[in-house]
Amino acid sequence: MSQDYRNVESILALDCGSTNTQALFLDRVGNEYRLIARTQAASTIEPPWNDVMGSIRQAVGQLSEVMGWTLLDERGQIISPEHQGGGVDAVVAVLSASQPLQVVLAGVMNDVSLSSARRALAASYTVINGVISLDRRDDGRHKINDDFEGQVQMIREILPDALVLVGGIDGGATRPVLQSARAMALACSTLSTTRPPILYAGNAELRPEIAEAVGADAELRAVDNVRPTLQLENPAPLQAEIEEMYRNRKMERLPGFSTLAAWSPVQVLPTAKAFAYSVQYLAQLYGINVLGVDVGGASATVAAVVDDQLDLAVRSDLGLSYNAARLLEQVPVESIQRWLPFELEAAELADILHNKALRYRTIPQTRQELLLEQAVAREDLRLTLAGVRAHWAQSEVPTPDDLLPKFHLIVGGGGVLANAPSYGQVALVLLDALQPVGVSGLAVDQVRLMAPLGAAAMVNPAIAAQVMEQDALLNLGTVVAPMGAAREGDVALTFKIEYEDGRSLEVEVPYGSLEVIPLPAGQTADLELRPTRRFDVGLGTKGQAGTTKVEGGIIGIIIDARGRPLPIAEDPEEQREKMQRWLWDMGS
Amino acid sequence: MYYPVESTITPVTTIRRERMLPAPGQVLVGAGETVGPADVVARCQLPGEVRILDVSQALHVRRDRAAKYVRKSPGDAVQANEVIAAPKGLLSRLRGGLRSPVDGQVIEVRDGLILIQAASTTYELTAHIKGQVSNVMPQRGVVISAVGALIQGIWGSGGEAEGVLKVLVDNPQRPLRARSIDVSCHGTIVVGGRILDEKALEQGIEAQVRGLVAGSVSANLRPFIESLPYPVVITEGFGALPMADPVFALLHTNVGQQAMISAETLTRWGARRPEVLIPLRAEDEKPTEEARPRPLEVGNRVRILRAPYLGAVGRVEDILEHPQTIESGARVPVARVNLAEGQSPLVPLANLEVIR
Repeated sequence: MSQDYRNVESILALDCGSTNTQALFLDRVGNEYRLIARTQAASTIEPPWNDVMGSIRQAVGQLSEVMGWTLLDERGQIISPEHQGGGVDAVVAVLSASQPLQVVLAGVMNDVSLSSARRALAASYTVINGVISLDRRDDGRHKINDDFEGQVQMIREILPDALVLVGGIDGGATRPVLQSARAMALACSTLSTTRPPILYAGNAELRPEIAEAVGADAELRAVDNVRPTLQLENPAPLQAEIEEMYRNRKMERLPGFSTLAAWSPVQVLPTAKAFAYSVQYLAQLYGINVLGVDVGGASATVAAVVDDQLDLAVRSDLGLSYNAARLLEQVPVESIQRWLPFELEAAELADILHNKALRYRTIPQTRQELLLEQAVAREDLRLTLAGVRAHWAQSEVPTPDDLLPKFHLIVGGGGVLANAPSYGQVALVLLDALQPVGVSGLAVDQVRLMAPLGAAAMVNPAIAAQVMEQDALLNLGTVVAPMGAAREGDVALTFKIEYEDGRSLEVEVPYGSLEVIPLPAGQTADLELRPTRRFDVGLGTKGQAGTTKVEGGIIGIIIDARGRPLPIAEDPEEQREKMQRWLWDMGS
Repeated sequence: MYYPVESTITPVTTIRRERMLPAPGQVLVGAGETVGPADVVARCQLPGEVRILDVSQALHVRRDRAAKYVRKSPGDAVQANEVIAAPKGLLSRLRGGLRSPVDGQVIEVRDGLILIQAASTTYELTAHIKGQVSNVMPQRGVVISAVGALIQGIWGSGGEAEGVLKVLVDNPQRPLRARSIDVSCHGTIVVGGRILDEKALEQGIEAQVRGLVAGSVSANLRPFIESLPYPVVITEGFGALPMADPVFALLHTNVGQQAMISAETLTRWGARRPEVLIPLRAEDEKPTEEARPRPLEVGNRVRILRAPYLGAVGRVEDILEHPQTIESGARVPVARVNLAEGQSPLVPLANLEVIR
């Protein structure tokens, strides 16, 4: 970064979501930086306002009132830098309120180039609206070589923001890739509206022929092959290009964006990217694996750092506001019902979710509707996680039974978790959706600081780091989740906890249960874990005992002995009873 | 200060609606002119669909040799069934030729493919509202102003329609029954408390209704409604909700009047709500202007948007200073709402919609 931000002492961080806009003021208190105040206003990107700045000014105006510190001048512009009468040294902003980038993707094989391209596209706010594929598995309705017109018509119908063409390892397939390039170019040549650019990330040796095939029909941007060999995936160049496109074609076109950009000395970041920066920061700071998940109004995000490697997946077609009902197109209704402790007819469930999509600013007033939204969050997370899970499957990281690799810390965020009335509910959503194994810390981004701090770090990393440490995460506690299966009631694990004051407690945990042992935040305890021969507590071998120091939290220590993968009862009534028991066990 | 979502259900207001062409064209009316719903106010040409014909596949020739069999060049006009590519000599008798499926123009010949753009069609934009042209945007469209009743719905499907309003139920709880949609409904916009099943909707096709307005419908019927040949406007939401009393009362008052419905719904990216417009009779009262967003105030008439009071209409009795714990366990800003049944529950501010 070329600019010098050393004099920045106060930061106004803005988080512009699809449903709500948040303003956070970070400043020095004594010798450290802290979150001073936080306000929120309903986002104003839709009529009658049509201006992202409306809710920003509302939220900042409220901040001024709360702090008794003027931040806006009489024209509604930010006062910067800070002086005796008010103002702030720097403004940073994250944005997820823009429309996602609509993409048509063409490739050769679903399980090779197309799957690599999907993972690369998943790192940005994109929606793949159409797929052209050589094989018909997956959703590739259009088979190359036999439906040229179908491909052209599909592109004309969707009118995407970008056409992404992949396929062929370097030096590999040429014919189907060229066919797709010709179809894309032909489709573009027939469009009287703005022609989408073609982004080529396939067989590198084919670039000159691709350029010739596309000609003047469309703008062609070529980047390195997303799948240069069968064994190697290279998502970064495609990701960078897509992000740039999202910025130019979506973020910057949001009404009011130019004013927002002018307030900030650094680039306005896509929220998911800023969230990933914070996850990466936590991983680097403690030298651990960190999993960050966020279910927002219009998207769900998973950012994971495993052995210093960052993976980011965003699902712009999931979320709990106007996308709420779209989950029903992706999973059977039973997948949602299984997380409910009461009977809810499929038709009624659909009605509630469709109403939520129409009235997306509303919040659940009844416990039933609250638990339904948490059930949706579980499935949203599960589907989003699948985007990065495939990558772990390719890596050297052991993921037995398609489970998570070992994460030392799991952070949950987004409205549905941050606003949950009970911490037990938050923990249970995370445990059910992610199914961590071994010993992991659990935390919640309760004031929704993770993404804004990712942006704040661009102007002053020290401020971001200190606020992250002090104010960002609410420590829920530590979860111990043995892997394995047994008969319900059989002992899965015996553990002994030794508190700081010398007290100790020994407990046998039966398979199928969830146990919560209080350990207040700020305290640590030594935990001796002795799994029975069918269970592994993350030490690599079934039955292997070990000791570990664990941190307390608002919940304490959770022993999740329900088994991995989490067994779901086939009988819906039995599953409802289980769900009720799990909620009780978590104090919810 | 809390700015709630708003919904307009008013017997008299000034309505301004932009009527825009999908492509540049010609505006046919001038500012100040009075127009009726069916009057054409602007017109444009829409390009026809693009058809792609594969010469190599049709004539069984190699793609790189297909060009020499093509008898047309870009820019040439073609007629439906006209031979546009064929082998020469003896082969032509054996293999026949490739014929254009449409009237149009050849726009491209490449890679053994012929692209034909079908002849353009004329698009006529109607006023949809009975009112006065208040603004003309040359080549693009007009703004039409009218005075009348306006009811905003929450979901709809199927475009626009106009017709005489016909209420088929005697109270807003009553579902629309197929048997009540008879021949007298032909050409009308029918109203019912809610939609129970597909039968009533199918009967609407049979009776050739122009449109349908109801309080609610099951979300499972959404795909079926989207396939109907007439527009449907839902005023409350999905489920088995009765039509809100103020909505039903207003529609009931206007039975026999000409009404216009617009069912298009967009929840995001240029949000648009479906609506019912009923132009005002000359003797009716003076209109109020369409309101701008205002903060929630005590005395506001509100509709509750979530269970357990979903669909209930009442008045704000009090906006509590501090957040309160609600049934879900969450602590949120709330208002006390006085409902007609004498109840005064606390409702999260986020779950209130002000009725203007």
